[in-house]
Amino acid sequence: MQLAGQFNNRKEYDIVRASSSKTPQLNLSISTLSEDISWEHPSWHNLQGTVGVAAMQQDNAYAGRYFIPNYQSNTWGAYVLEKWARHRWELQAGARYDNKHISTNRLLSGGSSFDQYDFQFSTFAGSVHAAFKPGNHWKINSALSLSQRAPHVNELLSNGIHHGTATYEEGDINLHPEKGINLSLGVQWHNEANTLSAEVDVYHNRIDDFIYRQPVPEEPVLTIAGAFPKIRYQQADASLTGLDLSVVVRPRQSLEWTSRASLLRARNRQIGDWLTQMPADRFSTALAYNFRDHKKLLGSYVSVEWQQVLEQTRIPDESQGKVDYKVPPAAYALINLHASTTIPLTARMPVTVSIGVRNLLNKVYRDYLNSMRYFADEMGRNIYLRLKLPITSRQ
Amino acid sequence: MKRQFLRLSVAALLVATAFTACKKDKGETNEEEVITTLQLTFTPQGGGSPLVYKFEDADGPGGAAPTIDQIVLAPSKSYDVALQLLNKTANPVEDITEEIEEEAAAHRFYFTPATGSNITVSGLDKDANGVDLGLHSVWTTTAAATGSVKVTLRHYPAVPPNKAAADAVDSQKSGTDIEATFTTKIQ
Repeated sequence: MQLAGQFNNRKEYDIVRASSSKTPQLNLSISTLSEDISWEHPSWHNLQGTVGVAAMQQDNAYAGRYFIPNYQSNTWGAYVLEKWARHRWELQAGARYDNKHISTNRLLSGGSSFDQYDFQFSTFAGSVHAAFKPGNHWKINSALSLSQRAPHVNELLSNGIHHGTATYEEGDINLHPEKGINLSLGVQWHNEANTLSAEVDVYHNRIDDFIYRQPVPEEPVLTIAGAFPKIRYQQADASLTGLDLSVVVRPRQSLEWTSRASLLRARNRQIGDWLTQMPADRFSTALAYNFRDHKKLLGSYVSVEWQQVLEQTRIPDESQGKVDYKVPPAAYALINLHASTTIPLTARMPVTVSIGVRNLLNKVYRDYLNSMRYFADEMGRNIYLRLKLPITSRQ
Repeated sequence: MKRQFLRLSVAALLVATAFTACKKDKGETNEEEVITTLQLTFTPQGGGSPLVYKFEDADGPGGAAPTIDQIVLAPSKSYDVALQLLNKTANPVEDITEEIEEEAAAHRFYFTPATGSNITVSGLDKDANGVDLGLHSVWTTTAAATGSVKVTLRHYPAVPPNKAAADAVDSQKSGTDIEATFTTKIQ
């Protein structure tokens, strides 16, 4: 049994006149309590399982500028997970039911009057997963899952300027839960000497009522501080198909060369077009040199990484009018450096020091997924120094 | 068993306290700063009744769209223009102009007429350091024309403010508090 509580208070300040500058312009507080009771049944014929119930209560309050309403959310759920493993096979199956109740007090548009509005969502999820090891060098994973996701409060009810992204976000109270069928298949392989390994994952997610953020360029929100881009939460039947690939080559003990690729094709099935605001294809390759362990320095390495993100060309058709405020930014490539070492101060206190540079060439670029791309470039050269001190208790 | 029960009741007590502690009144008052109205009062030099034009977003950002008056002026005339900022969501109406006067060194208005509008804006009042403020200005018209004027209020967050005469409207030292565009007509 687990019981957890969290209190989160977030204050957002803006540059305003002296009389109101000491109070935050937006003050959000969230109190969360969660309870989880699970029971693991004794192993029976290679079968291991867990059943449990979980519940969460959340109270969210704001003061200041309106963005999302005060709300109370109560969820409870029950799940069962069974695992079976024998020889080269591992099978897993699970099911989960969730019930979510949200009671809110929302600000009616254009006024200062409030309206009580409650939501009730029931969602169900089920999955089966199989892993098979045909030989010492291979591992095959596949999974099929059916899942539902209830909309979040911000997707339902936000209505105001999000000062983190300088966009006006508009929720939709008529959103209903997403329903998805997810299929995935993964293959892992390494050679005898473990000097070469590779991993491929392909997935296909068919999601009905997929909730996404749609820019509404024909309706920017004009305020006394200028116009803000409006983003509306919408849903449509979608399909997301992707491929993740990684290859690691270790020609020598000290040298490691890792390459990755990540591709995604996201379609809006309802209108037979691409989905908006989806990640562009990306590739990266990194070369790391591992130093031999020294008495005072362990796990030391230096690495150089090259990252390439292509321009997102798969965007909704704009021949019937604009569907975004700006066209996707151009492709970019970044070079990152990283060096790290661990100093064992005492046996229990290994201190890790790392230093690195992100965007070494100080490239000016923007990323399609960042809402700030409407206004500003991404960060330039960024040098960081990191110190990691683990705190462990005496056993 | 007894111990377990004790633990459970402590947990229950904690839950109860947490809930009563964070219970807040729903729909509480907004303490934020809102500027609903930018009002320009034009007094013709050499006599005549003053003209008032405003940009007003009565319900603040979002909701109903702002209403923006067209500034209509007579040709070949000069006007003394007084600028006022108001918060009409407060009761009584809050005059934010006073706060700008108090912090004159941290604020600056820019008036940008579109080319062909046949309006020039000059004679901006100054802060204590002799740098443009813009709560008062002089607008001079020439021949009949239609066009627009953009009014921008920039705010300097640095302490003490580092406002300088040469700062452009998009200076990195300041941020935008107000950006309102009026259409203009000289007839």
